[in-house]
Amino acid sequence: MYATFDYKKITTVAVITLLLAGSVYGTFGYKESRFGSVSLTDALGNWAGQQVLYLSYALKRGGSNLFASAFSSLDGTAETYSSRTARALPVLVYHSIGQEGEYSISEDQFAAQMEALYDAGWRTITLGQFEAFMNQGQPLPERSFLLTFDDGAKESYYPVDPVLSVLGYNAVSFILPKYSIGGGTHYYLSSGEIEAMLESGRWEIGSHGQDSHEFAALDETGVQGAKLANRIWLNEEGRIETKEEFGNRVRNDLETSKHNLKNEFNSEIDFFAFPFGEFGQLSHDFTEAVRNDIEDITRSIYKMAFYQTWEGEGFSFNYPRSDKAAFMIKRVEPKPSTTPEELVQKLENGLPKDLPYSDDISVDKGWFSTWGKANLSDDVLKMKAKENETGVAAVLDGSGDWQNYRIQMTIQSNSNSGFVVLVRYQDNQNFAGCNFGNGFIHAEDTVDGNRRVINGVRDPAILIPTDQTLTVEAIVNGRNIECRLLDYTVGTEFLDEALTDGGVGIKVWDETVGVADLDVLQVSVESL
Amino acid sequence: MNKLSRSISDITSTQSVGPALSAFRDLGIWFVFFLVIYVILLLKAITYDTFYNDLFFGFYSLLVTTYILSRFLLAYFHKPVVIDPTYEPTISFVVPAKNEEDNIGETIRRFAEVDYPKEKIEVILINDGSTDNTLIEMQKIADEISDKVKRVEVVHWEVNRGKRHGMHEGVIRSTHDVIIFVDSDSFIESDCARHLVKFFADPEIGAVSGHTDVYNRDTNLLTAMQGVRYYIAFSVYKAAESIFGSVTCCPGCCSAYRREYLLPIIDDWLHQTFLGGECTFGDDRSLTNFIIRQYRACYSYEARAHTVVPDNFRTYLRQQQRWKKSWVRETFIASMFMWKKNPLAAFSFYAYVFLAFLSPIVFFRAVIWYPITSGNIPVIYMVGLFLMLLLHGLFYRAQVGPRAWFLAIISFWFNTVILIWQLPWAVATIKDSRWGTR
Repeated sequence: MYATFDYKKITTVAVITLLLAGSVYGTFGYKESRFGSVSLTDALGNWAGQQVLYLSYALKRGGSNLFASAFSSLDGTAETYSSRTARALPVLVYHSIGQEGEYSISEDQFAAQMEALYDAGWRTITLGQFEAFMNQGQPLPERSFLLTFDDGAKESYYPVDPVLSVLGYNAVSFILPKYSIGGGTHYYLSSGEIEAMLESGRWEIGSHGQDSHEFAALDETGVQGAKLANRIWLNEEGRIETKEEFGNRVRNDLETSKHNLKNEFNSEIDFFAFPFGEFGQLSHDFTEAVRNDIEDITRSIYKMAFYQTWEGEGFSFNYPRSDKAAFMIKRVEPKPSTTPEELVQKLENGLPKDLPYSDDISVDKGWFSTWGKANLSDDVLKMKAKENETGVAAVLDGSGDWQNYRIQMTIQSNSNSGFVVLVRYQDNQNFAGCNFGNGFIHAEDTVDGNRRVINGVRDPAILIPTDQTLTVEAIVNGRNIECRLLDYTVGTEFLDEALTDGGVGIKVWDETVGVADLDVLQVSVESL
Repeated sequence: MNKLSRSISDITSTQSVGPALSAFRDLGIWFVFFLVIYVILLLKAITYDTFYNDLFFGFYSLLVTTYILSRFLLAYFHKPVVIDPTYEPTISFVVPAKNEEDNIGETIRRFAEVDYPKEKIEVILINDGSTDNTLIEMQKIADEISDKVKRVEVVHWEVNRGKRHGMHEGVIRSTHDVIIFVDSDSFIESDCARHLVKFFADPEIGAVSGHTDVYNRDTNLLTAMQGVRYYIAFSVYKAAESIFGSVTCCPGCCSAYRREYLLPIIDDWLHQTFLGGECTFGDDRSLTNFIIRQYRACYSYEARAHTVVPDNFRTYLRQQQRWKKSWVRETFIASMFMWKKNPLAAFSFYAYVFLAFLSPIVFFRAVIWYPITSGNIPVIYMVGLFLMLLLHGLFYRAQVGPRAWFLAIISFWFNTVILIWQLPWAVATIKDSRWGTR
């Protein structure tokens, strides 16, 4: 051998070999603790991709900020926002950001939506701020909103955080501890990643349930339903679980997930998001009972629970109520097709409106349909029943906290069907109204879904004309309600106590399907 | 790593920064060197999962990494031999030349400046049927140096016979103990002879390769690339072989052979045939093969020479093609006896043969087959290949100094596409013994 194995060379080689081996081993160890069980390549890819996004958003945003600041001093628009305090708050929910799909929005679309919200003056708040506003009356600036993500997918963090970072936003991630605690999966975040999110100060976490982000059989035929929102079929015993078994299962699931997340991340877990946004409203059987059970159990474990609102379910914002604590919180879910402008418009329309309010229906100020489909076009709110439906109803978004007011509506009936001017509308189960029909006028209220006629007149001379525009009037003041059509007036002082405030809307109805047809031309509301 | 003394041209070209700063920078380069090894090891660890999916290619990948990294490790343990002042055998410089009027003068002139007793030096110059002024130049410079050496002999052949005949003629005419072959376009440094000769004090040594760098490495990217290849081939791969005394090629540009061991085999070598044809190139590799059957061959990193390399791609490819052919031939021959050598040397040898023949297949699979069938870009393969080349480049940068090493590596990376197919092409055309344009 023509080699020298002297002490120095051997030591050098040994040290370098140890260092290299240690570095490689250490790299995998670090990867495991920081990124979880994904491959090193994927971890590196995710990380590097995110760094690129931080940089590119910062450059892009930095550039346009410079541009904007040069002009803001001229028109002063930057100062006009947020001088008022909020009266209600919207919550947004997303799932994952990446490949476009049913529950997924593209990176560019998401970034554009956030940027548009920011530029329109919208700012995020924390869970604590949200809860304090809703239940303790802590003031917040107008155009505050809560941004949430369900499932704790990697794609709800990697493309999102750079956007939050550059806009100074923060968000909430509702985690599935079953998948995320520990190494995570290829799809779900790992503990290490969630810790990094929490450390950034931009993220808070909540629970999305332990074992219930899945479907189960609901009867012997195998019909599937969300596990947490339904009493499930026990195959071995050949029966549906009892109310008690259901309650225990739900309670156990909510407690376990809360406990696991709290232990893992050393952070209070006071907020819950229902898997699939279901809390019994769609349940297979026993709807009301199941829904009440779920709500009661959840309320005993969490401070607030989040679900997804849907078209016609009510106002898009959450209104704080002095008489009861807010618990079930609705969230708006932007779709892949929602343009940034539409999203901004949706939230602007949802902002609580001021009185006096005047609407010539030339632009959509937030009329949403609670029944059928009302269309806004050519300065008219067209309310025409579909072929297989008997009526249409629409409510004005942002009117949810109006209290004592007079509403005047100019309408054109095309079918002489009866119609109801809705007042003190809180949700589809709670509202009051003036019911104008052929031969009668009723002052009514509906509380918890129970409709009641409080006072009324009957007169065959009362007919809804189709050959002229009509102006109808409804006045609510305290427990008084007054309904006026033509020369008739009906009133009562016994409006239900629960209906202290609420918004306005209109419903048209006919016995025959596809007939009801009415145009709203003008709406004006003034405070009393 | 080796405390390699830099050649004069290197030292002058190095930017004049303070020694402290320079040491700091060198440390930085070594850091990057080991950083690249770290990344390579990480890549291996990452792709470990796929090892069992495809055992054969997984094995290839593991072997090639082990082979290359082990070359660096072995080269680090290469033994420096101390000059023994009491051992001073007589030496002969043998230069076969054909049409080298531009370089031959400088080649010969360097012999007069050799640091060795002049009465122990003889110079044998063979003009092998040159059609230019090589002979006139030879005679002129021979006269110039005649009083600085014991004897100069110029052999003139009117008709070209071939380099092998020239080398053979030199061996026959030599009267001295150690024969040093120098190519007619190579220039030795003054201490080169001593650093070659010192190895022969060990009777087991039959041949010693000097260290040859590329003289015209700054001409263009092609010569810069060859500069890196030469440096690495000598200081890493030959140094690694030298550990076991089984250097497989002591190249004609500057190598020493013991005449006593050459004489019994020189005629067999001259008339060597392969697959029925006379062997007309790869004379050096072939001669080394004859020697290491019985004796040992080492590499002296202190024995420095500089050689002129092709500066256009066409000539370069033809040269490489000749070398690949002789490599195939001599590797075949060497594989008959290499297994008798040191087990690690034998393993390295057969591993290299295995890798060399497999690399075109692996390349085809990774760069053509895999992208077509799966639609994926072979990122890992290309990055791995690049990192391996980068490792070589960094070693060169650390040892030689700031040259165009990075561009050379990039160029080599691109050229891999062409160069990797030379071996199968050489096998296919092994019987074609024409030189092509030199």
